Amino acid sequence: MREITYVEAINEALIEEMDRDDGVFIFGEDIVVGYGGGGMFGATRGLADRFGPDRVLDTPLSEVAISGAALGAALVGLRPIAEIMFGDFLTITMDQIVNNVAKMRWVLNDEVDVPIVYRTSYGAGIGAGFHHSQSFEAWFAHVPGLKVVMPSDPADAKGLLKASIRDNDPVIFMEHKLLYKRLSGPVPEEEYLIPLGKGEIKRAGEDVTIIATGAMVRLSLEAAEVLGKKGVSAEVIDPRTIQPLDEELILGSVKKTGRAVIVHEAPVFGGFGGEIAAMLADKGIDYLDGPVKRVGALFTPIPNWNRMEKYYLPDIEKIVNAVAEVIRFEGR
Amino acid sequence: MKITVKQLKEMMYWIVLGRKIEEKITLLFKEGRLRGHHHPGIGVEGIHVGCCFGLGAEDYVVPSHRGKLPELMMGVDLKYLMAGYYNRREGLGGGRVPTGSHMYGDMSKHVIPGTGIIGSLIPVAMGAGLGIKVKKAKGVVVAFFGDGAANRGDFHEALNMAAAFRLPVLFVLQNNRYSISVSVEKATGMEHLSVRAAGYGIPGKTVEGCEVLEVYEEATRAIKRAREGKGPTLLECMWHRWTGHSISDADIYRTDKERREGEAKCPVLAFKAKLISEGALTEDEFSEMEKRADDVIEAAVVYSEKECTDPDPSDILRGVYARG
Repeated sequence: MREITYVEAINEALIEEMDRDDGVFIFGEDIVVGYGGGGMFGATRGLADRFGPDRVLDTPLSEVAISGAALGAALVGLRPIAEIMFGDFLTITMDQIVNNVAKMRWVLNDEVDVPIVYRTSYGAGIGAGFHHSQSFEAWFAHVPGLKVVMPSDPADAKGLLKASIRDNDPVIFMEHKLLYKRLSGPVPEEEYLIPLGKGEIKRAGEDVTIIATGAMVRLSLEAAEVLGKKGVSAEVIDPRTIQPLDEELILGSVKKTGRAVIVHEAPVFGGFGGEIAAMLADKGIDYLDGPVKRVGALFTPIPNWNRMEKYYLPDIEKIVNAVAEVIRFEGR
Repeated sequence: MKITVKQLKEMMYWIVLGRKIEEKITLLFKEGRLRGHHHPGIGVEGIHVGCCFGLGAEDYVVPSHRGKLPELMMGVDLKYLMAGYYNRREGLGGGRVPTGSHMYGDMSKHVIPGTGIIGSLIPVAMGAGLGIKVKKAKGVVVAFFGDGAANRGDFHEALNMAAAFRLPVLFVLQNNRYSISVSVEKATGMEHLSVRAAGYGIPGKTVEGCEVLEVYEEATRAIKRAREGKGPTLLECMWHRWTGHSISDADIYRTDKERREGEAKCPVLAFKAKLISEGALTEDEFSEMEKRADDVIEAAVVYSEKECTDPDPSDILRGVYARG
C-alpha cells in the first residue's frame, strides 16, 4: 500500500468530501495560502484552486466570528468546516461551541442537524510554546452534544475526518501538529470511513494494556517495543475518539491483560485519563490485577526550549516506568 | 415608499398583538402561571414590525430575548410559542427550553435561536449570512440585539467579517439606553452606537424606534442593499424599556422622568393616531384588532394550560446527539 503523511491524508479527506458534497465548505485563518501553501501546515493545500473562493475562504483573525459563523451556516443547511489554526485558540471559541453549537440540536427539539467540523492543530513537541501547543480535548469531551476526535496516524486521520464531515453532530477534530509531516503510513487509495466511537488495537499484547491518544500512540508503540525486550507483552489501544468513547474495546483488553496504563499529552490532573481510570474502576474492577496508572504532561505551562519540553512531555521512559508500577518484570 | 392601506392595517395589528402578548405574559408570570425568565418587550413593537414586515420565506431572523414579533411574523404559531413558555411537550422546544427568553427557535420558519449569552448570536447571524452567500441563495438575515450586546467583542468580530465578505445581514441594534441597570452613557463613550458602522466601512443609521414607518423605510433600504450583494447595515433603533430588564427587576436605577419620557413614545398610540389622522384606520377597526389579538392570545393560553401535556423529565435525553 502507498504511504503518505498525516497532513497529506487530511488534505485528501478534505478534497474528497468537498468533491462529494457541494454543501461542504471550509473557512479559517490563512487557509488559502498560509505558510504551507494552504494553511500553516499544508492541510488545505490546493483547495482554493480546486473549489474556488466561494467554498474556501480566508477569514479575518476572529475566532469568535469563525466559531459562531459555522453554526449559522450549518443552520441554513450547509456542512461547514471551520479551521481554528492552533488548538490553543479553541479557548476563544468556547462560548460559541459550548453554549450555542453543542446545544443547538437539543434546543431545537432534535429537529435540525448541526454538521460542523472544527479542525485544529494541537499538541506539543515542536518547540512552539504554551500558546501553540496545548491539548484541551478533555474540556470539550465534557460538553454534552460535542464529539471529540483525535487521530494518531495517517489512515485514521483520513477515515475519521471523512466520517466527521458526514456526521450530523458538531465534531472537534484534533490534528496533532507533531505528526503532520513527521508521520507517514499506509493509506488505502479506495474510499473508506472510520466510524466515530470505534477504537482500535494498534498492537496486540497479553500482559498490560496501554491506552493512548494522538501523538502518544506512536510513543506508546515505541515503549511497547522496549517492554517487549524486557519480556512484557504490551497491548496498545487507541480509542481514536474520546467522545464517544469505545468503552467496550478498553474493557475487553483490560479483561485480558489485567493491567492498565493511560497515556495522554495533557496534564494528568483533570485530563481525560481520569475518566478512563474511573470507567475501569466502575466497570472493570474485577479484571484488574494492579493499580491503574496515568502518564501525562507535568502540571506547568508548556516550555519551548527543547530540553525543557522533553522534560515536560511524556516519553518512553515515563511510560515504561508506569508499566513497571502495575506489573513486575525482569530488570526492574 | 409605497405602502397600501391594507398593509398599514396589517402593521397596526402586529403592533397591537405584540403589545398584548407582552402584557399578558407579564400577568401570567405575576399570577404564578408561568415560571422562568421574562424580559418584557413593551415599547419595542414598532422596531420589530418595521424590520420584519418586508421579509419573505427565504429570509431568516435571530430574535433577541425581548419581544416576540420577529418569530411570529416569520410564521411561528403563537400557540406553539406559548406552549413552549409553559414548558409543555407540544410547545416550541418540547418543554425543555426557556422559551420566550433565549435559545428557542424554529428552523422550519427560519427563526434561529437567540441566546442567553447576550451578543453571542451576532456571529451566528453573520454565519447564516455566510451560508446564504455560499449557497448563492436569495435570503437576508435580520439579527436583533441590544445596546449591551453591542459592547461584546462578538459584535465587533461579526460586523467586521460580515463587512469583509459583504454578507446579507441587517444588524438591528435596539438601543433602549440600558444594559440592565448600566446606561449607555456609563458603558460607552457615545450616545448613538450606529456611528460604529463607520469603523467597519458599512452604512450605519439611527432611527426612532417608535416611528414604525421610519424603521420600515430604513430596514427596507438595508434589506434591498443586502439582497443586491452590497453587504450588511447597522440600524440603530432608539427606544425605551417600559419596565425593568426582567420581571424580577424593580427598576430602581431610572428616574420617573425617564420612565415618563419612555412611555410618551408608544408605538401603539403613535401609529394608531397617525393612521386615524390619515383616514387609514377607524376607532372601530382598532377595537376589532384589539379583540382579535386578545382572542388569539387567550386561545394560546387555553391551549397551553388545558390541551397540552407535560413532558416526561426523561425527554431531556432526546436529541443530545443525532440518532445513530
